[in-house]
Amino acid sequence: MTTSFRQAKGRKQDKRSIGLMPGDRVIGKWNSHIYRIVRLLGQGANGVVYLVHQEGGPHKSGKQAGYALKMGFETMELQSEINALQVLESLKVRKAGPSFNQKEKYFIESDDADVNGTIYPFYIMQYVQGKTLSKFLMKQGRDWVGLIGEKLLLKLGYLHQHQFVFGDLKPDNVMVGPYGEVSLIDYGGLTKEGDSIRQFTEWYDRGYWHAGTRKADFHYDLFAFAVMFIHMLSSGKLHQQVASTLPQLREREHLLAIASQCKVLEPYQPWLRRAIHQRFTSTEEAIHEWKRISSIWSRSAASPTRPTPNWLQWSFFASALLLFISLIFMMLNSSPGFGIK
Amino acid sequence: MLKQILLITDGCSNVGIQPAAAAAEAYAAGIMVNVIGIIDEGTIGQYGQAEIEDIARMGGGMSRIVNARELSYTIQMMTRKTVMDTIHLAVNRELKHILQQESEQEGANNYSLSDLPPAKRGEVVQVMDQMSEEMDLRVALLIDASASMKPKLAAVEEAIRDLMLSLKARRGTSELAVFHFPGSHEEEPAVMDLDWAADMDRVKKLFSRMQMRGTTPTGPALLHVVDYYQYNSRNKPEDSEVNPPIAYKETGTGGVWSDYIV
Repeated sequence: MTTSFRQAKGRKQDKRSIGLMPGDRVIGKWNSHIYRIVRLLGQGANGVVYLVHQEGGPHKSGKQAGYALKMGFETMELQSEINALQVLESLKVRKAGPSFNQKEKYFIESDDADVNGTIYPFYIMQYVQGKTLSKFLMKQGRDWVGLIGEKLLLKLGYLHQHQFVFGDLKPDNVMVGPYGEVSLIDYGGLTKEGDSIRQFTEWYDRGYWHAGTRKADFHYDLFAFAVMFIHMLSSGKLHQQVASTLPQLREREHLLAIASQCKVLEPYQPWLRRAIHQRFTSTEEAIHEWKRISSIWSRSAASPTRPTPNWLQWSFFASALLLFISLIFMMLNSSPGFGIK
Repeated sequence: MLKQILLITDGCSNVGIQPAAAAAEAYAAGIMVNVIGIIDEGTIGQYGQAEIEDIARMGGGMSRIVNARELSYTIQMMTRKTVMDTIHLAVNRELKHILQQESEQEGANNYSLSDLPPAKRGEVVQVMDQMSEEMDLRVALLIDASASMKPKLAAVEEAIRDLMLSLKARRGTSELAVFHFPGSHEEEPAVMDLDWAADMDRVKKLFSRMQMRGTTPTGPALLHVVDYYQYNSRNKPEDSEVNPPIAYKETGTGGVWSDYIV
């Protein structure tokens, strides 16, 4: 039932900070492990995430291994998230799915620390390197939509296979590594199938679009997946559309209308329609269908061509201008001569 | 069953019993009172703010002053927090029990989750999560419908629908009732817009029969809702008894509970 709203960062009473600076030490009250803050990684509604090194911790080829440390504002909430991560760890032991990376460690340890006189709970997890999904697609181009989408669906499929729903799917919670590997971060929304979604972001929420309940099922994630791609690839059109609509009239057809205006998503239209209308019978089917579309599309000539880079356009324009100016100069300089002869 | 009243207002009461006294009466009857002060721009006024804080304090709940955009989020946050606080109260006694066994320390009364080693918190929180998912819940929304509130009613209705959507997804029964005040004449401090419902899909428009009048009888309206909670729920006999706000107490003593912890 927690909502993490988009505007959450600007809200006054929630703007809580912990005030740890790079170089500060976090000392575990129970396990006495010491972590040194390297930098801030992100701030969410219920906590702050830092990149840390453990003092006297393991080294990897001479370099200290980095961890992510999440410090929470509330013990209960943070513990609930830790529980979710521990469930994921235990699934890994039981059975590793085909898409599953054994080295991925969701949870390492939890403890409390005294920061300027206040006790905060925290936990340590593996540091996931990479860019958020939207940054990655902006930088690497839209040719990657098919592959990244497929890898993300496989991640979700793994959770669904074990009767869990990710819940808070949004571009900020999907990291893409340097080799195109996809990881989900922030498992605060992880919900057992059939329970109410524990944490969601309004914009990607099925209920917000008047498209269904907030009870966890695999459709919930697939819906958020669809909204996410439409939102990222339609360059702000979705926001404009919604801003001009009364909240009670907001509906899924708006999503599909925006999707149909977007060239990159054109081949995925039928897929998006099914995800938004919750017509897939399983996540496996959704994955299969996505793969089929993306493999046809990436091999066809119709695939979107790379746009001409900006610098090239500008230099073309500049050289054309230069030519034009020099032509005029030439004309002006030579015209008296024409007159005399 | 957890019972709460959520008062949404934008100003001060000016008729009848002091709202804080009415809230204290609600709390004594086992109903928590939360208050949201809603503003456009600027402030709600020193007097209004003090009144809002008083109502919440006497009603055993909390208060927030927000603008209309944040209403939906605030309502859900408060409802969730009230549920959690109730569970905390119930769980605290269990925690005390465990912690005294752990450390043999006597005397301390106020135990919290953070006194428990991190490795032991997991199971307790799992049970608390499950309780919050399954606890039966009733929320009566009491909306100030004085003239100044009129432009904000659309946002209020949208927020109520959103709350319903979230509550509907829970495993436990969740019901909402909606009242607004003042009523159409002096003897009617508040009017019911929606009787206990677990679904709002068929409700077209919440605030249809509404007359804007000058007075703001916040106190009498609160009492009206308290009466409604107590006397109009006869169809469910188990509700009629007056419970203290710690409605979930029973769970703490059951054998099930201890199984989870040890």
